[in-house]
Amino acid sequence: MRNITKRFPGVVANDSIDLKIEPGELHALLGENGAGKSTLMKVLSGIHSQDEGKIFIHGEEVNIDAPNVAEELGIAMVYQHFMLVDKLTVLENIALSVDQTRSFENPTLNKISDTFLVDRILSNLNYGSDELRNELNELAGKYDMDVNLDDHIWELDVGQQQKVEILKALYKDSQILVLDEPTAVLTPQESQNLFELIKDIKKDGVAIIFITHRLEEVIQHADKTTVIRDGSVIDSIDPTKATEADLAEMMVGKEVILDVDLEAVGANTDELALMTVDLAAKNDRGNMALENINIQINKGEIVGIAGVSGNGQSQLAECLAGIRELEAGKIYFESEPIEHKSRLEFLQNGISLIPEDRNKFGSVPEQDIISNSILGHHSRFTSGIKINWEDVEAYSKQLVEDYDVRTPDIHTRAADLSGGNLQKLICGRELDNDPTLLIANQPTRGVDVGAIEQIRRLILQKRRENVGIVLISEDLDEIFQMSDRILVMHDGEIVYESRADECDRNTVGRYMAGEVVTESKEEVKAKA
Amino acid sequence: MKSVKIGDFDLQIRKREEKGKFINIGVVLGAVVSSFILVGIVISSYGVSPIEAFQLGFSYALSPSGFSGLIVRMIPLLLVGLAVYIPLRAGLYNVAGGAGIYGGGIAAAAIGLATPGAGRLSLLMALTGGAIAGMVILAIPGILRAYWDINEILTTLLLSFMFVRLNNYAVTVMRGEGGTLTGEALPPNAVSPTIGSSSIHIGLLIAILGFVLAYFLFRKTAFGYEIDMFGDNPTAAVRSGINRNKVIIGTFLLGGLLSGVAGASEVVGLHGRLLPDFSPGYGFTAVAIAIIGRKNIYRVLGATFLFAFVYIWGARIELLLPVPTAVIAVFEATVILFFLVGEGIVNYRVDVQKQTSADEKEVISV
Repeated sequence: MRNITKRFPGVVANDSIDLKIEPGELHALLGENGAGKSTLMKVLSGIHSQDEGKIFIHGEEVNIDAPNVAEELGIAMVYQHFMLVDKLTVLENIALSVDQTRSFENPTLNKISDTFLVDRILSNLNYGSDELRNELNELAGKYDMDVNLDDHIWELDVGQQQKVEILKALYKDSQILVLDEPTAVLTPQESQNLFELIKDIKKDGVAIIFITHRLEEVIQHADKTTVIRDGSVIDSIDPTKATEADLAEMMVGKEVILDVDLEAVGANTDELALMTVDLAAKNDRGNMALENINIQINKGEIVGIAGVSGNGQSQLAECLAGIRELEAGKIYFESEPIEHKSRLEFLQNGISLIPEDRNKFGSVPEQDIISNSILGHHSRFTSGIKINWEDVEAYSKQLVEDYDVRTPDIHTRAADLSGGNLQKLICGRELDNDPTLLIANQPTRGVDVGAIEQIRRLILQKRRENVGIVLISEDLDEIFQMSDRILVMHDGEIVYESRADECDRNTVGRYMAGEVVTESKEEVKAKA
Repeated sequence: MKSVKIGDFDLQIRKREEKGKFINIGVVLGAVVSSFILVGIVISSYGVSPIEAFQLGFSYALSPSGFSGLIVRMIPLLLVGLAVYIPLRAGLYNVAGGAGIYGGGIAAAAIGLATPGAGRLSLLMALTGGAIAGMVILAIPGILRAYWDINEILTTLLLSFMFVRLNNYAVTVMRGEGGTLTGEALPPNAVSPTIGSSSIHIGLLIAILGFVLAYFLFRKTAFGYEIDMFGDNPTAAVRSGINRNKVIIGTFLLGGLLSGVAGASEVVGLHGRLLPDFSPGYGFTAVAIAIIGRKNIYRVLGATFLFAFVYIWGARIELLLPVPTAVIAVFEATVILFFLVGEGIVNYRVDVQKQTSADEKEVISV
């Protein structure tokens, strides 16, 4: 890609960017949220068209003005949010995405399939054919991917769904594979598997572009990395010759401190903020998601909850915040039972939640920053039935300034903020309302280094102010750096609890993976 | 981004990144002008010059009687339009404007007839009774949606059909002596005074109040804020402590109030009695008004004006030219179709590629 420039109203998202990717190379694209990585990749995959600049593939200039052109050229993109149909099987999903004309090699059929309609019908019949199934099985076998073609997508965990996306891309003979933050949703073990897979794919000459925020992954796995800041390329370097601190500095333009200091491990007080007794709850599908949860959170302490995503952490956060109904058990807040109260009463008691999905749960993207900065707290600005919008605007301005939300003005829609800035706005809103208890569910997921640092500092500041904090995270570094106590969740239960300074990552990792529990269960069995 | 293949043509639909400043108003104007052109074609098929038909409409609207007719039409349309608009901002479709009108009308007529000795209080009671009746009726779909998640479009649509029949039945119950086809005339105290010799009645005042209420609701109140948040992201709104049932039932109650009082004012203001089928599809026109209004109350007002004009224009040309009043139904249908298509074009770009030969591609952008 040479000299790519893309402008949006008011911003230059890409400013003459040059990017060169060799076949068989794992190329990491690094940059803060809003730096222009995603825009660049959208240009490459034909979703946006560039205002200036040219794209060459194998030395030939190509005009990628639509996604299907990109597809024909062998460019495949795996988004953070997978493009899969939940209710269909793996095979059906792949059949859906396959070019209709390609799959038929039979010459007589090809003749009839000249017409559009016949083509459509044949391609629909085709998904049941053994040809596709065999080819896919062969492909999966070649790369050692444990994918069962007849599983429904909803039955698969995130890591497997990602494999389906990659399989889809490989089946289409993609020569350039773009992965948008592929490890953001994976456990350490799953990430490791992904990189193994990538290594195999590389051997066949496929170029892989890899967008990430995780510096250690870049250093360990990437062959080359390009750092983008404010829409321009800062440098393209060999990451093995750089340190995390070097890369971080290139990304944000100043030296950042990734480690934050807990003054001392252990709660500031022994005053109980919240306690649950034998809490149990179901998930949205009606299956039990939580059982026998007994936890205590003191004021002025951070309780880190580690676990692989989908083991009940989100349901727990929702129960503690008064969003999800309990099946059984009690929640005591400052020694008062509150499990029967509404979300509003939880909020008014000072129980704040930073949700895991900022667009779905944490904000109303279509509305402006002003409206979003009082979401959940608008009663503060209400007298009688009236909202005092002048106060709200002043407050919103203050919030944007205090929490360093970068935006043209407060009338901007939340949808137009970058991920990190929206997350800062949400954190600011929840922290600014003097909570007694803060539940932070993956507060730094998918945000850039600068924002991560800022959000972590804000949370620590609240700890100093004697707020009780529940920190749910899949990032073990975060859990270990921030927590006074560490709990591990697996399969809807708390399987491990320890003071942060008395446990090590290995143990926690093994509990996260559920190994220890299974072992001990087997031991019990063996004894019996 | 969607890609559709039709024969040799390859259609690609994608969200537009940039939009012009006046494009929204352009869409509305475009839809209106194209609908007038289409209606013109229909009119000329009756052998009538469409130019003459338009001239007739405009000159009538500017005449004193025509202007008064326009205002009289705008009263129920604005009230019912707002009755659809308020739930729509919470993402809910209220198709029961007609049910509210008829329910309010029946209640107002019954109260007016039952209170001949109450003096001017009778008029006030009739209007209040109409408003309450509307609220009771619209509470049904609200509660069903809030507590049992029963689709409000279905329940409100069924309600609106039910009340057409119910009104016709009520007319037979309130029939005057001698078995007329209309309800008995209300006692003078229950009938609204009018402005001078025009037929503009107390409904004008009520419609202005309704407009101010809706304006105040969304500009100033906490409930309006909650409705907007819920409308754009119900999940986030509920997780932020906004009471879902309050928003759903509340917006429907307001819708019931406005459509009920609209029906009551038609009965006590315009007709002075209960008539069969006294709402010529106001409930459905109101849906068009609210959709064109989107999130802007001034646009609701503009759309109300437009549809009121089309109503009186249709009635006028039927009277003077050999054209049936049904042409306004054509207008109503096409304006909403053109508007939705126009919005689609504004929000999405469609590229049509024609595969002329193996590597040549013709691209037409729309």
